[in-house]
Amino acid sequence: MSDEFGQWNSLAKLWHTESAAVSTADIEQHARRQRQGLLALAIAEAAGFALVFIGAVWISMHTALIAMSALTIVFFATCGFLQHRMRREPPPSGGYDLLSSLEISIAREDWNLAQLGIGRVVTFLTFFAIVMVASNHLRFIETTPASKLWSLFAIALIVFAVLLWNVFLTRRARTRKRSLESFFTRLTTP
Amino acid sequence: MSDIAALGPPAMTLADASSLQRMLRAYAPMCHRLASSHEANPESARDLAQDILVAVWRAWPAFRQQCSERTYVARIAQYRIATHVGRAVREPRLTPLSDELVAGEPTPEDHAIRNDERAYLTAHVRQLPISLREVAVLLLEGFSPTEIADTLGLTPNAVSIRGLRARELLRASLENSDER
Repeated sequence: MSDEFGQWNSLAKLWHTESAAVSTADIEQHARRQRQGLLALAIAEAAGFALVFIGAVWISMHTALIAMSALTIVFFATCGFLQHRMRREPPPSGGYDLLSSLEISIAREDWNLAQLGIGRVVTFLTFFAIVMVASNHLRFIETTPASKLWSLFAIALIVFAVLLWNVFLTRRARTRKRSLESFFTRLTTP
Repeated sequence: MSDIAALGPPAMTLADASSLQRMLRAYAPMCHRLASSHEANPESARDLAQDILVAVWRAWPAFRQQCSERTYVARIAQYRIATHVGRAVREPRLTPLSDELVAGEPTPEDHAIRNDERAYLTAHVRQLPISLREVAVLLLEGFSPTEIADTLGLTPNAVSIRGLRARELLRASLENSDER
């Protein structure tokens, strides 16, 4: 070690004074809490998704809107596929060093944002289809049963809820990406 | 569910337990020091240290002697700290830094004084800019410049320059506080 780094020795002696005791029970408990939190989130997400899917299909079929039934099934199948794809992707393995680990994580957030972008496009297309079907029914509002219009409104609300969830996940991914980029910049700026 | 599966098995085998105990004995103090150098709140620092240790435990089977164990642990620790700091900078500071840091539990007088001095040093290390702090804490941990360059992904020259600047800033900061 060169002399300039040798001058850290006096500070290093002070730095190493205290040592914390840690038990394996603490670590295992911490890991268990993390697992439980993630599991609860995954279950809540899956349950919410299943409920809105069943609700939307029931509404479509109950009011004999065949086209809406098909559209609803395709919409939820696409969203479910994207969600499953994002969840299945293993967490970033990390790079050889801190900077490459940060780069890999930033790239992963970009990938997540791309999947969420596809989800938003699918959602807006579905909205467009709902509007087209609804406007067609509204043209003949005198002869259109109220239940059909209400069911279209309910499906639109469900699709809107999925859009809101997408926006929430997108904001979270963007925030994570910004914070990683911020740290990367601060680390590389002397 | 891959992120849940990646957290490791819910119950440890005997081999896992002994491996974890060895890792904790060897590296838990370093992880605590690294965590406290970036997090002023003691509870958050302890939480961060445990996050680091869990991450090290998960990554341990993937260790292929590509570097020393200590460097491997430091890399994982630095990455966990980076994600923690990235989140924390967006939150308002709840606990202002104070130069008067008192040890919580009753100890013999010499040990208490050393604890105060160490906490004092840690508080000043936290004041350093991130780019200098990362190098400074690893130097204080006893890493060589080459190991620091490997851990952070910087060039040895950059480590050298930042180490000098960090030392100057730290000494000036400590001296200024002593004069007050």
